Amino acid sequence: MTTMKRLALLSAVLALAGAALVHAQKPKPAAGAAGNGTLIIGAYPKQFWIIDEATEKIVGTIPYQSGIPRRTTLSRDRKRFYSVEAAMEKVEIVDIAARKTVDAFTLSEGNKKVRIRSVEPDPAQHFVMMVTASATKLVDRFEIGAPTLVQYDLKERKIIRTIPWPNGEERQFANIQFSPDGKLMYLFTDQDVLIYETAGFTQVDKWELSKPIEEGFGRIEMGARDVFNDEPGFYTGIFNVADPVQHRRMMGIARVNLAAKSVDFYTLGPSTGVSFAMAPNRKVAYGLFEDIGRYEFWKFDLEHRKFAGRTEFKGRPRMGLKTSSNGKVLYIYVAGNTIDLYDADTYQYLRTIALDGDMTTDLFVFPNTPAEVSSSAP
Amino acid sequence: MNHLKSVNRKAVRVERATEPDVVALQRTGVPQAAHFPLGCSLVFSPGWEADRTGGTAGLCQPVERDLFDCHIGCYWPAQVPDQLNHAPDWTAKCAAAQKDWRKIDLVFP
Repeated sequence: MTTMKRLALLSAVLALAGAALVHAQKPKPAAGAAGNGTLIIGAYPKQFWIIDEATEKIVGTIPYQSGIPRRTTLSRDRKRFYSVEAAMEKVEIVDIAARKTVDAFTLSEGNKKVRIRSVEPDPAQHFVMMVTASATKLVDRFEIGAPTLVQYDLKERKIIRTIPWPNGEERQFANIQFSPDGKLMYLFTDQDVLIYETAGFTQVDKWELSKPIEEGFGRIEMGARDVFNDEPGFYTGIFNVADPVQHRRMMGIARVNLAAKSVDFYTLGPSTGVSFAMAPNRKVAYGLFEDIGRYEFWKFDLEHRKFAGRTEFKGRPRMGLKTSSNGKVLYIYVAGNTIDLYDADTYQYLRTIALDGDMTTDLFVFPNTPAEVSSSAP
Repeated sequence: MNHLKSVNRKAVRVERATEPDVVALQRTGVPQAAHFPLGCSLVFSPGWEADRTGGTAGLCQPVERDLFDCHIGCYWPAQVPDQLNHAPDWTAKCAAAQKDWRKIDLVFP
């Protein structure tokens, strides 16, 4: 072999070895990869954790100034959190991209404490709807106010309207949704959906869900739903219905079109208490059945309108369920400082993300990477 | 036999809440959970270390996993210091109860 040929052979071998080394160094997707999104969750002592879904590592925090973040609502544009702190006296508005608080307010003053039970911003974020209850400390007693549904103007920083409860029946919480353009507010009650225009908050319509959607059918009752992954203007979730003759309770999935006031409902089987978490593609959804000592994943095939099976797993008492950004992994969270990951196809336990503090809010799964989530910072 | 007579509005509400406590044997849907009418000011629940059936199998395991949620939720205020009135800083030195519960402040009455 000539020297030239030897050199050529050697360079070819080196090139192959180099290529193999580069290939070996290229990170392979982990088994059960959950996607390239971002997880954000509020936790002790007083911050939101930002977790890179791809690496499952904490990549940042959003400091929370008012105490411990608790009941948290995401704005329609998914850029801000409206979070009520644990003592329920302050609302903090958090810019997710900038990772900082942009506003905070309280309704308490002097010896009057006003607890804010829920907060729902309108799509344009000009105002929030809140259910509040006051406790005034007097010389000899506390005077407890009735739960009140109020409109709070974010610019004027004051309550500008109190909306009377339907039929004068007080509620501790309000299930509120806005139309995509923000011109209508839907107030869900046990029997009906009351529709208000948001300019003057007069009731413009009433959708009597208490009436059967077809003859011989019982009235449907709303159950668990997943607002985060649902299409704006729609309400998809588990509904229950009892037939008027034998009073058998059946459960099913309903997709409610709020604008058209129509319900697309199909039954799945006997009524059972199951949670509901929709995958981002809205083709499947998952549920958790929890009984003492028995935990099951349920799967709903939304595309083919059928129940797709249930699988028992070794869960933990008190669980919340979310799907990952690519729908391939299921997150089990709530109570404690760990998020357990399960394969969405096989329901096998994969691994656990351990946080440095106990979780206090809902888990938000964003489809964008942490860098993309932060990129729209002002 | 009813030995108690409600004398204020809250007691009347409690009495009313306990009226439907007899559950027939037929199953018409979601199983009825036991109803406990007494407890803290926000939530009616049995004492610490008892689940909705009166047993312990339904509690968080380990129990520290549920400690902080009870603190901020005022769930068992007689057994876990409540953050609204008495011990707002109870958890200030400990962010994860299961990991470092020894750092939780002692609270004396």
